[in-house]
Amino acid sequence: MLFHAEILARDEEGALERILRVFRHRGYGVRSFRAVADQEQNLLHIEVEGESERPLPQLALQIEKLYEVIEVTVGVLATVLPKFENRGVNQVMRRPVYASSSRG
Amino acid sequence: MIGADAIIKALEHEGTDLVFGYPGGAIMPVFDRLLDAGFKTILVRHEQGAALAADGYARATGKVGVCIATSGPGATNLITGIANAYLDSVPIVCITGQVAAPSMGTDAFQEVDIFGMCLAVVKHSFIARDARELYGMVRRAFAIARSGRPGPVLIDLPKDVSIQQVETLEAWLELESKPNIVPDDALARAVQLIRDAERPLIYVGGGVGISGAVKAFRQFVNTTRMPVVATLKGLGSIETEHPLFLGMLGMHGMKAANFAVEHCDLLIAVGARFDDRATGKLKEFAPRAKVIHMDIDPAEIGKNRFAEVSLCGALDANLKALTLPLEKVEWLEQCLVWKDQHRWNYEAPGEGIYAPRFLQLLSRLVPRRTFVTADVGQHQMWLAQHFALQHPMEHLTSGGLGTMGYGLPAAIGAQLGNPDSLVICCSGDGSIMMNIQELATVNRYSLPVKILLFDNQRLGMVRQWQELFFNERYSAVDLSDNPDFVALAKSCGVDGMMIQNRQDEMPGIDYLINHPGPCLLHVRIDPDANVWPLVPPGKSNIHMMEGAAHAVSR
Repeated sequence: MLFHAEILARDEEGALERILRVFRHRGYGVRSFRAVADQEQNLLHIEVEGESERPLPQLALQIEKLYEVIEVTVGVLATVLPKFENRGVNQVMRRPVYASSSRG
Repeated sequence: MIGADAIIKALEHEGTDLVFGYPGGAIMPVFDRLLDAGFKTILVRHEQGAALAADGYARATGKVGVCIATSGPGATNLITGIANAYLDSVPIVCITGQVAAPSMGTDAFQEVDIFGMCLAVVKHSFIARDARELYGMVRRAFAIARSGRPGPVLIDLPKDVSIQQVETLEAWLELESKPNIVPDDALARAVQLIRDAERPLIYVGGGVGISGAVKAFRQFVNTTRMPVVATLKGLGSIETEHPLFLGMLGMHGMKAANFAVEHCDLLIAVGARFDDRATGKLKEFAPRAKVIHMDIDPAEIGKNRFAEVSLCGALDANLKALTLPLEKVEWLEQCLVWKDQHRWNYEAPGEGIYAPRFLQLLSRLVPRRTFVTADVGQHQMWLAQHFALQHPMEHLTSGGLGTMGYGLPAAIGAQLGNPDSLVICCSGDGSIMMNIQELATVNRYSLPVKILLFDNQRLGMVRQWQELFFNERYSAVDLSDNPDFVALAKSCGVDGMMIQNRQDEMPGIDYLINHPGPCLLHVRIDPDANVWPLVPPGKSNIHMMEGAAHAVSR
């Protein structure tokens, strides 16, 4: 199942790592993500697209537990790629990482 | 005033009466100021001992435990203790020294990214970047550690920040409380489910003890008169010898408890999280039951098992709302028949000491408010099965992480928090060696901790699994070259005695209860004794294996 998650958090040290860790650890593969720090408001806005067989509400609940997190929205995506194109995400971002990995 | 002073002030204002620690280069400014602090510093002999002792102190007092270590190895040695507190929801605050901020990220001497390493095992963590924020950071760490579902909080403290000048202690913001998210009609639906159920069962976990809802829980049980099963950490939520208590459920649960779960049509989970050791094969757990799930952590509700009604929030109020008199006589009678049919049989053959019987006898003879701590393995399960408890706070066991080496440091923490209580550390010959260095801490502070060491010269639980599931191929479980435990204890200033015959049971119990100072009772037991019943991994809880000669329930 493809999913989309949007997270608003306080931009405290380690917040990005802490949030992304939850995706990996709880079994929600990240295919792409975009994070913007709003320094004026000390806010971090993260958008993630990924794939998982696990129930989505559990992902939201686990992320909501994090101290920095203000708001989480998680939903099912019909497909990932068209959405990327609509947003004008460049080609580099769409290329699977393993295809270009020097480690094979 | 420097940063280290701000930390001490914050700890004092939190009412800290002791911290566990081990000094080193990067944390020296803090240890310097600890000399003048309004609380004690307990020097352990290994940082893991500090974290686990802080955990034991927190569990046995209901306060926040504190441990302090240096950077690098000092910090990494804490991690097992932090993970232990995380998985068992124990409030501790850990302060680690760090190399000076300009050196961070240069692989400096004794530098590790402890903040990064601990992300997976803390409720929250901070890196102190400015001494002016330290006071508020420590206060906030305490608030986070004990709020909601408690857990460990880490503060990484670069050395230059700890010596940076601070003018005033900055005011800090109270933690905003999270609103309860119980829907309006949930309580009404829960009441309806309870009224409609023919075979309701209460499944209690560690949450009742942690949240201080023991009184409300007992009122709930005594009024509704529903039978109760408990998880390892839920033991003592209702007295072990209470007539409505059927026993621990799960892998090493009592048969009556597992039968009741199998046949109930309503399962009321109170501060429990459907852990695999409790549920066995999840799909076949409580197959006939609807579920009411009460927990403070929304992420636990529906995580492993769908709940027809979720009551997310403080247990106390929700339990009170469900406390109503019920008459489910037939079901209760059935449960009590199971309980009677499958009560423990303490008549083991032979002349040796039978650990389950020893523990059961001991629990009947100890004074009230005795604390028992467990290490991990067969003795831990025997303690859970056979030691009758009066209160969940009095049973300190590493449930989630299963940390061998927990028992002795936890006993140190429990004893320091309860100087007048009897504290017994129940351990095995494998586990005790994992933090044996803390015998020196017991001696240093003259703590009257009693160590009950069951010695089968094996890693008993692993051996049992190899016997049952690995074709009796015994790999790396032989400990027949153990040290002389009595001599080892004596070398650390702790008295010791060895027993191995059944006739020495009572003198052994008397020694544990009445010896004036710290002591170690070395109890040799049958290496072939197993923990029964046992639900094999991946099987449903009704598939309970039992051995022929040892430790069977009827």
